[in-house]
Amino acid sequence: MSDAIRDDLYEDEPVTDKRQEKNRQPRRMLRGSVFMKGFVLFLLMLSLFVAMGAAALTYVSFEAGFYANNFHTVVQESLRNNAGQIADELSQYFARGKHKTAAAYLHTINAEVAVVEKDNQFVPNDSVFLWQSYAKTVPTGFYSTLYVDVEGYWFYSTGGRNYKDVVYRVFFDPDFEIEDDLKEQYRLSQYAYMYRAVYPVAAGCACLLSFFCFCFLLSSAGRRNGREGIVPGPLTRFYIDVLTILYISVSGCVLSAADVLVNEGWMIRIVVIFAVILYFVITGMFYLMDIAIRLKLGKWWRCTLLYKLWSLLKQSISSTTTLLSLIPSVWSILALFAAISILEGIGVLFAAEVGEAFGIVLWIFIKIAEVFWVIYIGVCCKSLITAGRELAAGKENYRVDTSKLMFGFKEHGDSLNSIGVGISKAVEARMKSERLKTELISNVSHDIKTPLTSIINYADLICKEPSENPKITEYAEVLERQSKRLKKLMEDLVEASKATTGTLEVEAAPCEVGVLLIQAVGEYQSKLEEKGLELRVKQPEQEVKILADGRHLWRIFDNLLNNICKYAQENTRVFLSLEQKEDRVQITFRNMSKYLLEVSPEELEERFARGDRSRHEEGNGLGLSIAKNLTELQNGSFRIVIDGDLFKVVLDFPVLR
Amino acid sequence: MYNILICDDEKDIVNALKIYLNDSEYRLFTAYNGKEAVRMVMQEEIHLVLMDIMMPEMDGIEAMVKIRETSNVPVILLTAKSEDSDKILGLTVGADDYITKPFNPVEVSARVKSQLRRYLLLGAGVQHNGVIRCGGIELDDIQKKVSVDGEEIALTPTEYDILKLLMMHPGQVFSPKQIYMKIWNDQPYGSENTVAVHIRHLREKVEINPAEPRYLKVVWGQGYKMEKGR
Repeated sequence: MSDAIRDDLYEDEPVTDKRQEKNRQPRRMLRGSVFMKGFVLFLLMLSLFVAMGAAALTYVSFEAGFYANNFHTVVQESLRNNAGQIADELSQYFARGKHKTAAAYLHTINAEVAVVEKDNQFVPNDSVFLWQSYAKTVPTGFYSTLYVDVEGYWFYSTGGRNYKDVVYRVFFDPDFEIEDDLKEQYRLSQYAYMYRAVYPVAAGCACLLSFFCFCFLLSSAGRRNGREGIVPGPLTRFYIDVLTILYISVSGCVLSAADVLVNEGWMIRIVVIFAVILYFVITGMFYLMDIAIRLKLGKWWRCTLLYKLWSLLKQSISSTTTLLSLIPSVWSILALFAAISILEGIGVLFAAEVGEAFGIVLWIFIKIAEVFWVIYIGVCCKSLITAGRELAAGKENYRVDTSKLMFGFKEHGDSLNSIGVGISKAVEARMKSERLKTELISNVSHDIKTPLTSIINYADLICKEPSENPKITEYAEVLERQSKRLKKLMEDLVEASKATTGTLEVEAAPCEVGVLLIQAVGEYQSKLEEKGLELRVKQPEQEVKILADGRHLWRIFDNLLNNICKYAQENTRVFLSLEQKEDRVQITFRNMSKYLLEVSPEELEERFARGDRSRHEEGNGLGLSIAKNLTELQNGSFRIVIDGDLFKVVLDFPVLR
Repeated sequence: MYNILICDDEKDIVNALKIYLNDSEYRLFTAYNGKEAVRMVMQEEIHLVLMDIMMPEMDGIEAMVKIRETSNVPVILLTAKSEDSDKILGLTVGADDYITKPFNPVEVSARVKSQLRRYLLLGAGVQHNGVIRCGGIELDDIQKKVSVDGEEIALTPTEYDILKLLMMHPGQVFSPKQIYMKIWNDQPYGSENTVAVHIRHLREKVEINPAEPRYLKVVWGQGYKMEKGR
C-alpha cells in the first residue's frame, strides 16, 4: 500500500517555490541534521527525567513543610514519626517483659525515653533497671526541647496483663552521636532542606528545556539536509488512523506489563518506571514527529484508512448510480411503482392487524405524501411544456429554470436550455455576419463612388468635347452609360443588403395606399407612355390605409414600375389594382413580359436574378429582391406569379383600422 | 464675378468641377483638405464653397463648423456618403445643400447658380404685394409669373394653380383628391391621376433634380406639400 499512498501524498505537493529554491544552495540547517535530532532527543529525555525528579523533590519538600517552617520545626515534625515508632517498639518489648532488650535497643539509637504518667508523675519504680538513671528528671546532655510525647501503655506485670495509660517522652540527641537511621535521616533532611529552593527552579528549567527540545523536534520533523522541502519519515507511509490505534494498543500493553512488574521490588520498580518513561518519550516523539510531517505535507486525511474507505464507498455509490441509470426509465419507474405498491400492501396488512381507524389515518398520510409528488411532477411537466412551446414559437432566449427540477425533468430542461442556447448562438452569428456584410458593402460602395465620380464626369467631358472622330464620342457615350449603370448598381446593392438585414429604419405611419397608387401613376405616366404602355388603375371607392413607411413603400412601387418599363411588352396594357379582402389589402401589378419567362418566381426573388438569361436589358436584378425585402420589413407579403407571359406581383398588407 | 472654392482631396474631381464651372462669371479657388478650405475662406472673399466630407487632416463636417463660426457663405457638401443620416448631419451643421457622388454635373452647376443667387441677389423675403415667395421660388400672382432662383419658368394654367395652392399653404399636405376638388371644383371620380401627372410635370420644371425635390415634396401615401422656406 505504501507506493499508492506516497503518490497520494505527493501529487498535490506544492510546486510554487520550487524554481526559486533551485537557485539557492539548500541551507545546511541544524534542523536537518540527524545527529542533532538524536542529540536533542537524548536531551529531551534527560531534561524530562530531571524535571520529573525535581518536581518530585519539590513535592516532597513541600509536603515536609520545607517552604513553610524553619529547619528545627521540620526536624521536629519528622522526628515525631520516629518517636512513635520507638515508643511502639518499646511498648512491645515491655509487653513481653523484655526490659533488658528494650534498654539495649535504646543504646543503639540516638534517643532516650522517659515514661511519664498522664498527671506528669513518673511511673512507680517497679520497672527494675531501665529507669534507674532516668527516674529523676530529664536526662542531662540531651537537647531539652527536642523531645516528643507519645501516648501509650505501660505494662507493669509480667505477661502484659496490667497496664497503665502513660506518655512516652522520647528525647533525641541533637548531636546524633550514634550511627543509626535517625542520624542518616537527619543528615539527608539537612541536605534536602539546604537545597530546597533549587528543586522548583530546576524543575521549571528542565520543563522549559524539554519544551524547547520538543518544539525543535516537531519543527525539524521532515527536514533533512540535502533534500528540498519536507521529506516523509519512515512512518509516513502507514495509514495514520491505523498507526494511532496500533500505537495506543501497544502502549496499553506496555503499561499493563509495567503495572505487573512494579510490585516486584523497588529496584525493578525503578527500572520499570525508567523504561516506561523512556519508551513513551521515544515512541511518543516519533509518533508526534510523524504527525508533524503529515501536517506539513498537507492533505493528511488522504492517508487514512477512513478516507480510503470513504472514497471507495463514493466510487461504489457513483458506479451504482451509473448502473441504475443504465436501466431503462420504464423499468426504473416500474420498480418504483412496485416498491410503492409493496409498501402500501404492507401498510394494508398492518392496518388489518391493528385496526381500521389506524389504517384510514395511515392511508390519508400516504396520500398526502403522494399528492405533493403528483403536484411536483405536474409542475415539472408544465414548465417543460411551456419551454418547448416558447422555443417552437421562436423565442430562442427562453430558458427553463432547472434549479427546482429533478431527475429526468432536470435533464430534459437542461437539454431544452442547450437547444435554446444553440439556436440563439446561431441566430446571433447569422445576424452578425449579415451586419458585417452590410457594413462591408456600404464601406466598399463609398470607396468605389469616388473614382466612379471621376469616370462619369470625364466620360461626360469627352462626350462634350468636339471631336472629328465620331467614334470617340460614341465610345465615350458607352463609357458614360455603363458607369451610370455601375452607380445605380452600387446604390441598389447597399439598399438590398440593408433591406435584407433589416438595418433599415422603418418609420411606420398610417399610409393611404390609394393615394400612393395615384402618386406612382403620376410619376410613371409619361415614362410608360414613351414605351407605348397603357396603364389601367383599379381601386376601391373608400380609403384604404395601412401601417407602412411611405418612402419604403414608394421604393417598392418604384422598383416594380421600373421593372414594368423595362420588361413589359410594348403596346400592351399594364394593370395596377388595389383590392381589400377583409382585413388584408392586396396590390397587384400585372403586365405581359417581353421575354420568355423561363425562371421560377422563387429564382426571380433572389438577388441578381433576371428574367432574361441573356441580360441584354439594362438592370441589375436587385429590384425585385429589394422590393420583396422592403415589403417583408413592413409586415407585408410579396408574391410573384408567372402564368405564361403574364407576370404578376402581389403585395399583401394588413389593413390599418 | 463670383469667387467659388472647390475643396476635395481627389484632384481629378476638383479638375472636373473646374471644367464644369468654367464660366466667365466665376473665379475658382481650390483646396485639398478641410484646413486649407477654412484658411481660404478666412483669407479670400469666397461667395460659395463646394466641399467633400471625407478628407484628410480635417473632414468636411469639421471644416463646415469652423467656417460657420465666422462666415455665412453658402456651402454645398459634395460627398460619397449617401445615407440619410449623413445628409441630415451635413445640413444640421450648416450646409446649404447636399449633393451625393457620383453627381450629375448639370445638377451641380444648377445648384451652384441657385445658391449664389439666393445668397447675393435675392434679399431675404421682401414681400411685394401679390408675390408669394417660397425658398427660391417666386410667384407673382398679379403678373401670373413664376421664377425659380430668379429665372422665369413657363407653367400651364393648371400647374400654376396647383403651385399657387401649395405655396399659399407651405408645409401643409394636400391629397390628390383635395387638390382636384380645389382646382377643378369637382368631385374627382377616379381622376386624381391627373393631379399626380401635373405635379410630376410641375416638379420637373421647378426642381433641379425632380427625384430629390427641394421645394415640391411628395409625401408618399398622403399627398404633396410645399416645403416651408429655408
